Amino acid sequence: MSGEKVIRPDGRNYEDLRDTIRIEAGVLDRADGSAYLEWGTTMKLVKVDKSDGKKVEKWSETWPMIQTVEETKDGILVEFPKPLWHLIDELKSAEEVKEYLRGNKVYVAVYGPREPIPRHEASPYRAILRYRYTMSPFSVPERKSPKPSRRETEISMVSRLALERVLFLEEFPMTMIDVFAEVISADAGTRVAALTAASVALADAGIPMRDIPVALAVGRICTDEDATNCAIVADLNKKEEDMPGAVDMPMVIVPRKEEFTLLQMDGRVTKEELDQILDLGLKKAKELNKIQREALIRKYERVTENE
Amino acid sequence: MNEFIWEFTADRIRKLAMKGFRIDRRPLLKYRPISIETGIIYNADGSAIVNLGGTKVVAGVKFELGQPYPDTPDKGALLVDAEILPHSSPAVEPGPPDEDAIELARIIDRSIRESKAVDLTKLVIREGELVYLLFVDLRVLDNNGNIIDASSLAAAAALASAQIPKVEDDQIVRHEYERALELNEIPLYTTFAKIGKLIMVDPRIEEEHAMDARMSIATVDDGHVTAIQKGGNGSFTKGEIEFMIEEAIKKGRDLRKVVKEAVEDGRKN
Repeated sequence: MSGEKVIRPDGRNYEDLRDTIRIEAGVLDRADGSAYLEWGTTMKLVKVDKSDGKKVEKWSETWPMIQTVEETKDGILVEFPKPLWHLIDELKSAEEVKEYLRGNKVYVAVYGPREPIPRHEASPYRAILRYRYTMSPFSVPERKSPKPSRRETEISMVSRLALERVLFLEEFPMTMIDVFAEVISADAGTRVAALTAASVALADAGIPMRDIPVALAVGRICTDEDATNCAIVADLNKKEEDMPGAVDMPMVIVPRKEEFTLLQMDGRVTKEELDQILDLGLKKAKELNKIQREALIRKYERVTENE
Repeated sequence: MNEFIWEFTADRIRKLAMKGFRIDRRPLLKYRPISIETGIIYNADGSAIVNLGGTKVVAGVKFELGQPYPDTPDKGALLVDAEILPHSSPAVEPGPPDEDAIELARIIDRSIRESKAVDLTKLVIREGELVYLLFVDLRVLDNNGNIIDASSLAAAAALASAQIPKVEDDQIVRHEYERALELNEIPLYTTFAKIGKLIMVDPRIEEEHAMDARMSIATVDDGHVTAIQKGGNGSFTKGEIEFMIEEAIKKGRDLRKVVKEAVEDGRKN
């Protein structure tokens, strides 16, 4: 690896997860267990006058997520990702307009153990697990047809397989456990966002589990198509997924035993790079696991306060 | 809750109704608490999430480009779709939309279309060739009763906060906007349940299990009614219908204030 330094478009360090990851457990009343997750970049919209325009333009060449959204007579509207907010202080004229999340938003509901449908699929040995991953039509830039896609079917399957071993399904013969994940807002890494929330929703439903599985993506971004100058990075966002030579590896990790129950990859990487990717995954899984556990604890704190 | 508990609760609700009371001690014509948040989805051109007493609905508005319908070459197209997600209650199975979801989409569609809330003639790029297709998609996340009013609020708030994207070389430029979508009206449904002889607004899910009939009436600010849907297998008298229409017009005015406030807040935050 040589040449210029690889820079992440939102100004993150290579090993950083996105700046905003929030999980709330027990958000849906009717479901047996549920979770809502937000996972993305908090953007600040700032109004600056023309005198700062040059500065902003130079920055956005380095970090493409600093973007001019609108030009008006009295100035320009620029958005800044959270890791680069410190730059706003260097501007003479900055006036904050608003903040918003550019990222994934997922609702997960868990039902069960309950009577299986269709009944003939029931097993006398274990509960059947169903996992349904879907995306809302308005979650992506081009409206997605509400019909189930091949992509959703595949993701649902690998997600189910990633969770089966972690659950004590053998405790609930002749039943079914349903996990429904709806992505209402998408910005790369939706399957891992859904799975991270699903683990919390399953725990919230009181399903006995060997551990709380963690899902995240680790990958590689480069400055060129031939991948001669690259960096291994955690938690790629949409801008990074679209970079030349990008490689994205979604994974599910069972943190206590450090085992992988989901692994997918497309791209072209060396053995050494793969090694680094898996290592970084294990490292970051611990961090995410903490967020999941805190979400579960918070729910019960809330219950005590209400009483 | 299992079948027995539903039946037991329904029975209690019917007995209370004979005395003129509701199970949650709510006045007959009072809505449960409503919260609306707009501008929550980055990739949508307009969006809102509504929480109506625990019933949660997300609405997203998106513009695409396409050909106009042959019989209306001078108009853009409005398309409303709804899904009652399996998240929303244990009774919903995953799969293609069933009759309830299709009814929901169609009645929300009618309230928007017939009130002429959106001027479709303003959504034309080249007459007869290229127009905006305006998609309104609804997703019911949690069903604690009255998904019609919750969806109607969500659709209205998403539309009222929507912006029309820019078009260059017959392609939509994502995240760059031409102008805000102007609404002539904000049509909103008010739904009533009839249990025995008692008529109540905004039924909760237990009341829906006990009700004989349902009436949803969409109104706009000048007091016009723009859509009606009767549900359930029971019946209403003419007097009851007149009473509900009058109440729906009043309730509609209150609800529109809530929508307008939410849209204002969404602009600021």
